[in-house]
Amino acid sequence: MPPRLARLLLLMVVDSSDSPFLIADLAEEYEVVLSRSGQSAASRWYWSQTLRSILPSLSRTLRKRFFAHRESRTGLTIGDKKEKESIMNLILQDIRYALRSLTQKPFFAGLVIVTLALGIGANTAIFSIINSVLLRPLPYEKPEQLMALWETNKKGAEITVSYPNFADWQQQSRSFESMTLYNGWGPVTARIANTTDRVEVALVTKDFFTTLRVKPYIDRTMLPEEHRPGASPTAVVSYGFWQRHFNGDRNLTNKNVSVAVSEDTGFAIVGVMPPDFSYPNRTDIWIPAESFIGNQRSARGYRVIGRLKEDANLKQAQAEMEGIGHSLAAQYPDSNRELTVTVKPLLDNLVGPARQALWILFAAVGFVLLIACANVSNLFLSRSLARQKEFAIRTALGASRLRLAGQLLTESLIFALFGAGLGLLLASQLIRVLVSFIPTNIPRIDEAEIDLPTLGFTITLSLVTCVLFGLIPALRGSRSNVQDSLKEGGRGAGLGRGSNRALNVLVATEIAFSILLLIGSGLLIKSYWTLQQVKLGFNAENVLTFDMELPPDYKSSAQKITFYQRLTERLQNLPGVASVGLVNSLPVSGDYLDGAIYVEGQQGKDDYANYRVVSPDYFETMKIPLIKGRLLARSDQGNTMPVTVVNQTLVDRFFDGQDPIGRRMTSGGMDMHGDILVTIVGVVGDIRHRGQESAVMPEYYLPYTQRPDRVNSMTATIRTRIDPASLIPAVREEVSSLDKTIPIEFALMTDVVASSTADRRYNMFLLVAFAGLALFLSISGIYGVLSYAVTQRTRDIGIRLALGAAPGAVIGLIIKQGFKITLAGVTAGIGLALILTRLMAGLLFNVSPLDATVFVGIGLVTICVTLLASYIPARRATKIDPMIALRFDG
Amino acid sequence: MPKGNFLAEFELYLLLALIRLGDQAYGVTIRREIESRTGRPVSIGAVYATLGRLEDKGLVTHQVSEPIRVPGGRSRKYFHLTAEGERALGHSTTMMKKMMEGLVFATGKEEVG
Repeated sequence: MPPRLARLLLLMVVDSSDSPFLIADLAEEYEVVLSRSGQSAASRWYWSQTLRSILPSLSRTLRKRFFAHRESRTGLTIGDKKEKESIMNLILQDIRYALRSLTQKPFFAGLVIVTLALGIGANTAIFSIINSVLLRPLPYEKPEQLMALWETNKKGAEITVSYPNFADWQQQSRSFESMTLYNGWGPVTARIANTTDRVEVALVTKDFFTTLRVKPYIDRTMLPEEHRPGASPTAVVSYGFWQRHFNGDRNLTNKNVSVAVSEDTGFAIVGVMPPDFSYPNRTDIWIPAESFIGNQRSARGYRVIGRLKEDANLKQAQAEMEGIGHSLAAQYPDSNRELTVTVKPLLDNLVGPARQALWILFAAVGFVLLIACANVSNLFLSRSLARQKEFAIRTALGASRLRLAGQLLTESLIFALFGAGLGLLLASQLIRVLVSFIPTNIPRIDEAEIDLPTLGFTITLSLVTCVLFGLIPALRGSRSNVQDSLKEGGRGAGLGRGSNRALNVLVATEIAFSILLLIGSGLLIKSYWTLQQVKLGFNAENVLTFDMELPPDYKSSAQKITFYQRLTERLQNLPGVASVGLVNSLPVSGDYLDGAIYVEGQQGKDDYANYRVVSPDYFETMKIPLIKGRLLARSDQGNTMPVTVVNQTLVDRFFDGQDPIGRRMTSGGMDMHGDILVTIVGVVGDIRHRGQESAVMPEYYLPYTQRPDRVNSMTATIRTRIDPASLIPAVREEVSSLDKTIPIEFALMTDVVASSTADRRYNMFLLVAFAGLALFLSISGIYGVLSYAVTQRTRDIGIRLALGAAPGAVIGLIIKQGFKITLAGVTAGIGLALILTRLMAGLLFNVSPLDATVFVGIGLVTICVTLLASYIPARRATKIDPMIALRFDG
Repeated sequence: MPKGNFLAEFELYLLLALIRLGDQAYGVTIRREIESRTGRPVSIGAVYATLGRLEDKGLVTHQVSEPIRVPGGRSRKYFHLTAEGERALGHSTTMMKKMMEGLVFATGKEEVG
């Protein structure tokens, strides 16, 4: 395919009566070039054709539009005198003139265009991401009616929902047309005929597809009776899964094919969903939830969405659900105490935390663009100096001020359009980079592209920039004093006090905006640094991990335990391995499991705690220290006393300084059938299981040998004495020699830890990059203004030097001017930051938005850097030869 | 832009290309014809824009072909000279010949005229 962007560009500039033919012609030749010289050459060829076609086409289109009515009446012929006088001709003349001056000063033109392109490109890229993530509606019918429902505790934290609560909501609420409860099961190993595949499975209740209003692509979704507990198991699969495993066989559902995802139950496939549907989480298989969910009110872990009735609104629904929440809390204090219900738009819920970061980045690039505009405005103003005579002559010959201003604006428009063109190219690359490096799965971000809304944004933006940077120079430049300017060597060649002030204000503004961005990124850097100081509580160095999921053929507890025992032994014996541990949810990986626990003899202190199922050597492998008692041991078996090891936070929370060893507690919601009491045998150090940012949770560890129903999916952790990555082939070999069908995924523990702060790093790098760009632009701004000042004052400085002024005094003179501007900018910038940084409080970690170190540090650094930038032109001023300066024809 | 009744250089090339190509003159062939003969790059946008201008002046006319008989086949815009166009071309080339008569160009290898 020819490059889409180029084609879009052509469609915009070529007259509509020609464009289909022109584009088809280009496509025809493109194919030839493609077959002869390959993809990249063909793209290059297409782009060069496009870029070189812009000017002739644009001029033709404009002319045609303007003369359309006249042509039809008179049939214009060559050399029509009236045409020559038309406004259109004046505009074309201006355009030609602008293009000529652009080619005459290629360095100036290049500088302006690149500056604008950087600003416009960065804005376009971020906008296209914002557009695809935040602005575009969800791809369901009437998406604004879709709401996410959560239980919330008194701190406002969103908690997942249990089935009985959901059932009560569904029954009691009147604002919702329908409501559904669902849950992603995470990747599991599915068996289809003789193959296995890692797939995402979602448990859904019966109104799932009707609530979203999604129709199956083939056949049907589950029937209501298939959603009854105990019904014969059925499933719906994704389009991708259907293509992958059944080659898009349209008769699939008649063939009674089934897929096994849990134990050995086969789910008969009854339908296929459309290609773009994968809710909730790139799901491949949807199965009825009703057979799998318990009836315990405390067994949370599900998510709920509902569709509002036509006449209901969010506020009503929120009020109603709060009421239901309160009455449930009163009715079931054991499970629902202090919990209420929150309703929020599904889109907000999906996009969630990304929203704030994206808007902040957008604001940041907006400021970069403003700075770029100020800089270009500066360049234009300074250049007006050189053109003063030209304008004077034109004024003398009868050009009106409007005419001159018009011409200057046309010039800025041409620059803005070139900047926008280059910016678009830049943006299309930048989007790809931004999307591919984005660490977390922000929904819909991979759909970001340069589409029509983005293009519209860019064009509007370039028009706005044109006015922003073009207006002041146009107004100032067109006001020229004929007599003064034409006098040979006259002082009138300067821009006058007013323009000097305008230049200074522009640069001060640039500095102010840069300070704002620098302080913003400084705060993020400090947050990140603070975060890095937080101890995780375990040692991630030299640990290799891999996830595994036992296939459905492992049915009995003995089978599972034997497998893990043999695996551990084999891995243990590999050369270079120090110890091997197993855990059901790896720290910092994002997985965690919790449930309410109850300590014997501690009435009313029940609370949530996280649990892990581990092998005895897990603690040694992760270097989690033992504080008291003993660790789990190989002797803790299914037929011995049920034991647990707890962390220090759990002890602090539940035991008030009493000795926890030997005490008993329930093991939370994890026991489906009644609670087993476990005896605490040891206390270990805290780890930050959910990453450095979150608080330590009360946690307890259970031996996997006593919890065989919880070990279908485990993560092995291997502490190595050699480079952990080098062990991957050997480990893979060992696993597959035990069971070839188990798919495994490796990760270095250090990478897992790094990826937990990847979001932060990403935001930080982006903001630092934008702030750096801003600083660079404003430094070049101050440099430009001072260089201009030196040129303007050459004669003045020359006289001073001739009269014996010391070079130091001259340097001081220029630097003083720079310092004044800088100080004004820094003050304004810090003021701005004081107001605006609180908007980014959510992105900070243990750092105040008004952190003094950052504010002062950034202020000082900026002052130093700008003074350095002033030194270069100041130094040049001392090199002025008085003899030449006095002859200087400014 | 042509001055007076003269044709601009690129306009002249286009009219000559139309004559050379006969009934096969559409975007692709015209562009290639000029590019391969003059050896300088020609953009498709310039070809269409200039042909449009010549059409406004009544020197060139076009007809749109039936779609080509393949799936997704497209129509082509075929251009040809009008009688007026032939006259203008004849006029311009005659003028040029007259101006060049007897001249030898120092850098060129062949004698023009």
